[in-house]
Amino acid sequence: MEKLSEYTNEKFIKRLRARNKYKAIEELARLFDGAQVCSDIDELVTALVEREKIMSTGIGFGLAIPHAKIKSVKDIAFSIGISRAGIDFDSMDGKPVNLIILVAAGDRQHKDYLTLLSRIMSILKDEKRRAEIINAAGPGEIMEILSVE
Amino acid sequence: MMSGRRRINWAGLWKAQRGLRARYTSTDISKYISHIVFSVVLGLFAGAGAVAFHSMLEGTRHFFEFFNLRSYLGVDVNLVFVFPVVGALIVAAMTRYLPALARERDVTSVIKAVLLRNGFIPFRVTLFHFFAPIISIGSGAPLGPEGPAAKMGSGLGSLMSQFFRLNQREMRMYTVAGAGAAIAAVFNAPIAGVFFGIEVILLNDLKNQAMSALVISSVVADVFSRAVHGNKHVFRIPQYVTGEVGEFPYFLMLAILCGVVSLLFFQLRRASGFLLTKKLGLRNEFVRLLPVAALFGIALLHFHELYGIGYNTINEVLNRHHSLAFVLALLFLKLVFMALFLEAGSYGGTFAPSLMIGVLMGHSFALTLNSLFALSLDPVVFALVGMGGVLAGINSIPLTSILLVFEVTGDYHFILPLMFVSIISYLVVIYVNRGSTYALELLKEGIDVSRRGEMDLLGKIKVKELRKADFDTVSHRTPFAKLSKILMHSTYGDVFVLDDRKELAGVISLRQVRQAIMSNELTDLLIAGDVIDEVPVVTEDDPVSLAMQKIEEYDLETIPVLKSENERIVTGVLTHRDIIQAYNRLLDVWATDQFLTDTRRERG
Repeated sequence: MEKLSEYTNEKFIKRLRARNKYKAIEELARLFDGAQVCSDIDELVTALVEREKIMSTGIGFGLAIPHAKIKSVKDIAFSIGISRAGIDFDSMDGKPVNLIILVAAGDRQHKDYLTLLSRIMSILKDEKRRAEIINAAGPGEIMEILSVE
Repeated sequence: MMSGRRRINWAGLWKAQRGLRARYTSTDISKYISHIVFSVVLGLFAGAGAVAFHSMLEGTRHFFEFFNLRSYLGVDVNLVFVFPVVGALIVAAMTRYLPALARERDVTSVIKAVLLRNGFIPFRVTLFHFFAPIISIGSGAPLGPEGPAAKMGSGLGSLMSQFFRLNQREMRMYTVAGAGAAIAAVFNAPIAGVFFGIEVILLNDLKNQAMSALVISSVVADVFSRAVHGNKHVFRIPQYVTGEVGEFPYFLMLAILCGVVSLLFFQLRRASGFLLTKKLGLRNEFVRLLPVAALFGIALLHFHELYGIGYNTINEVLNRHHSLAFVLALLFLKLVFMALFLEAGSYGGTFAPSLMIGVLMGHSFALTLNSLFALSLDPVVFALVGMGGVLAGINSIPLTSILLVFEVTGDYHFILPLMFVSIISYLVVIYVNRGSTYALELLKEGIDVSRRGEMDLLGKIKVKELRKADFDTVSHRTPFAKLSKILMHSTYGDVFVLDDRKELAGVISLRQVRQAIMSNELTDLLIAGDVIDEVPVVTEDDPVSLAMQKIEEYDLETIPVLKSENERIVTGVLTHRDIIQAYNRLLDVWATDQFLTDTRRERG
């Protein structure tokens, strides 16, 4: 099985400027621009926002995992956004989100999509690991954390 | 008191054959040996049947022949027109009072038996189609013996398989082999017999297991036939000059003309059918056939060359006994009466008439060009080549045509133009008709053998006739935890996901999300809309065959049924299992329906 770090790269990791969840989603989705992940970033943003409007992907513990499966995504990938200040995500526990993992998958990558989401969940439910990522010095350190499952 | 006659111990015979079968057909080598033995036995039966058929046909034909009538019965030659009518009267009575047997006519009925009933042909059907054409062709109908012979041969193959209780695969195999063997024996053409089996009965399935049985039976049947009738050739071919390379453009013209004449024959058949059924409304077997036979009888007064199979006429034309105008008239009348007799309900095949039409056409083509453009085309060569062209065109059998003409003439010199003309004529017909003769005939009965060689019986029923309404739906907003519970208790292991407009957004199947349910990690993250799969759909009015095609293509168990293409409202579900069950039911119904209907009618 591929390591989690192989589904992302340092360019897909950033500290977020956005102060609300929709801006944060767009900011993270735009990281895929020019990276051969998605041929239509606008479509990806729309799909993610629409999904978010149905039910929040803020699952509590300061963590949100917005996700979408659309045709214009060529290869499954995720981007990581960190907000020290926290963003209101209408999370289940009502707390602001500090770590956002945005997952984009192709419409026919059904199995990979569920597997990746499941693996992300199982790693980030560990509070220590979440804290390491949020407090990491930079993208390189986050990649190292993700390369050890 | 003991009877003077010795009774046959059927029970003992039956027991003996079962014992023999059990002892000699269980091991691997014995299977091969028994296969060869069965093929040889079938060849002998088919050969004997063909010889009997041929002899009785010749006897009847000889009896009814013009100049023999006077010597046998003292009948005036002018009364010859009565004889096709007498034959038609008997044949119409047979059709009228034995409709279930009569319906299983033509070579297509053999193909259907192989395709749908594993080669099962009731023996009474074989008997009926042994005698009906003898009366029909023997009394003058301008048709050929090969269709009935093939029916007889395949019937014997089926009978042998039934007697020895062979399995379905073997019965199919020997039914095919019997047809080829009978053709081989009737025409003294073993290679053509084999190719007839391949091209016509097996619909070009070259990998079929019947191949070895087909070859062995054809060889044995032909050896038997030659042992009885001798090695003589049917046709007396005079000296001729084989075509130069420069003559090939004329052969090309002849090939196209053969194709056009074949198409004309199909048109004439359609027109005859329309005239008899729609225009004149003739449904009764007697009223349908007798006027055609009477008309033919009158034509015989001036054109007695039209009488029966026509081999004598072929020889006369090849040996230039007739004028061009007379040959053209014969050509026209042969085409018209062949179409009329077939549509009116007579019994016989189209191979021998095709040979005669080909000879008439090739001969007149060469003579016409010679007189118009001062050419020196040999009418004999063009007549021989025309045989293959029309045979291939009318029956969609290019390889059998080439080999049959080659074998019945025993002459190799004109093989190149023969091959050329046969294949071009065939292509002309295929191009215009968009299918082979037999495939199109089967299509009329709802059996589509053109697409991937499969039958499209399912194309006859619509999705709404099979769909079920006990499907499960969820909203695309449904949380994963709730979705999991619904999926676990769903009827088919699938749920249809509806959007806010209650239209189908996609499908979720248990097998696709089983991993997510088991891991329990995603329960709080996902909703139904996240895990839908876009699957193909069908509408209520689509044929079930389309649903089956999509189910197989996407490896599905179920497929959603929508109201229409524009309205994505789900009205039902169609399952793979239901389709298979419906297919099996259809096969049974299809195979028995015609017999049952007629049995009821007879009893009623």
